[in-house]
Amino acid sequence: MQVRKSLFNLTFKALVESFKVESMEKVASMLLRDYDLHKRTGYPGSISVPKRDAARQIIKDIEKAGRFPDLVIKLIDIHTNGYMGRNYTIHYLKNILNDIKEQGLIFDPEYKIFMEDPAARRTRNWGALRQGEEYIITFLRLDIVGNSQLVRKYPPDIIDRTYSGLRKIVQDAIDRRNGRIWNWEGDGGLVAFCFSKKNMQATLSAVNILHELFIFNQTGCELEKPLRLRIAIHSGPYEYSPNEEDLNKSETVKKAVLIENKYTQPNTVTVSNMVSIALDKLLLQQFKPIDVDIRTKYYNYSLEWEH
Amino acid sequence: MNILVFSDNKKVKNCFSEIEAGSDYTVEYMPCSDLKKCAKKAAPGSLVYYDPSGSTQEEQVKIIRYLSRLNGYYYGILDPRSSIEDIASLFHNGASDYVGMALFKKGLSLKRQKKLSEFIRAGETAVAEETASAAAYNYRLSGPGWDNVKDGKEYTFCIMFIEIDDYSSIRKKFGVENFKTLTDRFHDHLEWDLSPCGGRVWMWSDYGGLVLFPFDGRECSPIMKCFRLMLNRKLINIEYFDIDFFLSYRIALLLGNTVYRSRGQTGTIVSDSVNTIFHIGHKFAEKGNFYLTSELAEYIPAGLENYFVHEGEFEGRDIMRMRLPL
Repeated sequence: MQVRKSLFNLTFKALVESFKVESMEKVASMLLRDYDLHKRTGYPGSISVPKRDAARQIIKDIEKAGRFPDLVIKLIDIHTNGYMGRNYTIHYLKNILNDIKEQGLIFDPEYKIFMEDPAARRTRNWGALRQGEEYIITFLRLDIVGNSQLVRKYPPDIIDRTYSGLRKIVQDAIDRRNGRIWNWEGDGGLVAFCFSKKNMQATLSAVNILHELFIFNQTGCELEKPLRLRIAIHSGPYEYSPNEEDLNKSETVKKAVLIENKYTQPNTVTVSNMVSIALDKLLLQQFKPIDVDIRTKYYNYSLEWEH
Repeated sequence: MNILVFSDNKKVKNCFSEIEAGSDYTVEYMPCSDLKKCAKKAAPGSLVYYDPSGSTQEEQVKIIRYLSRLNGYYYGILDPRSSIEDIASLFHNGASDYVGMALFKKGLSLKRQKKLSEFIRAGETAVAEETASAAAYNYRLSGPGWDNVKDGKEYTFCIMFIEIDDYSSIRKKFGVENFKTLTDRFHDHLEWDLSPCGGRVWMWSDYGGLVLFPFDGRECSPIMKCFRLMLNRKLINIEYFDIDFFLSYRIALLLGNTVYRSRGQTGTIVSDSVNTIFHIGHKFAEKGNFYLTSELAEYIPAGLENYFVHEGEFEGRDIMRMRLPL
């Protein structure tokens, strides 16, 4: 996040008008270990640091440490929940958030994190995930059934058009639900969902993909037989890495692939038990249970028509 | 005349060499795999030749169906192996020409091609007569968008009826305020979803109403929109309505004429079509279903015809119903 002058000034005014110097220093200490305001400003210990100098120094130090978003998140938390049993009103908080929004970032209250405003831009990590940190991610794994045979049977231009059509269907479905394609190869791909209602969003995307695939097959597909997909959804911990190769090492990804391979019929969606517990009752009602073992059930959806 | 030849036969250029030499025709050659991609990009009025000999039976059927639905273009079939058994069926499907093995080897003459042009023109006369019969049907095409639609004038629109089923019991269960919140969401979702294809919510009560779509006589995108509204009705419920039960709605589509007046100024409109669509929606339509009148059947996107069934006759009109996803 870029701390431009307007944002610096708003945060400066927020600190000055919302806190005493001692409280300001406590906020700084929560983000920067062993923070000593006197040392940082050069004032001797016997003299109290003027409010404006304190605020300016704290923001500069926090920005330098790359923790500015955390400072704003802390201010939101103090504004909402108070601090040490005391209520605080943080002035200019709305203006600060608007200034940040102008930079294409919005605050996710559930995850307490700044992420990309999907209307402004879409990057692989939502502008929020940090390499090496662990997050709970919902993975949507999709696989084109019989990809090798299709590639052998049809000329490349037909395959290109067909797979581009599929890619567009997937992209449209996940863009509306804030998903990110983390891997796309010849035979399918892996889509990640993070933040609010990620299990719902992934499942709705999958059902939507299946419906649009039906229309594509009926009206626009150039293959002799309908293009078929297997889709599986599983959620679990994932240590974020921007490298696609690291995906295959993740146990959560491996499980999603296993569910797709072993428990998913062509043109159906299977969700794991981890995902199913987070689904809206009405959505889960559309799925049929699959017994995996005595304790585990997966759930499967397919598009069926009246005869 | 512009001629496009889609063939994978290496000798195809010999067949058109005399025509190419003449000044009245331009001939372009492309592989069959490019047909869908390129045929529509050709100048309107072009003649498209398709050589199905390298395609499977299923592909042939698909492509011929596609060609027969291309508006503003003509098509002929090249059959260098004379393998097509029912040649007449090609003409039943709107083909303008057929070139069998002997003719393919001999090549097409300029004289023959001129006769073909006359044949096509005669066909156009027949189409013009059909259009005249459409005029007798009193279609007043409003065009592809709203730019040419003027207040107070009569046009042919695709008119959509949509209404929440069992709204009075939902209102009773929910309370008036909550019901209003729900129906506002329903209305806003329709506006958001239908406006990209020209839909305008036109007459509206709390729980449903009419949506108007301009109609240009060539295609009818509202059919696909309504198809998706039914296919995705459960997803729409979950994502947009935020209620703990499935909100059911019924839809009817009709092609008909009405004087256009802007929303809120429609109280004085007297229109047979508006009456009919309300009658279909209120007296004929069953809960949770999508209907269209038979004059719209020809605009059902190719490949989805089997998902509509004849449901009966109502006020002198044949009605089709969409098969429902379960």
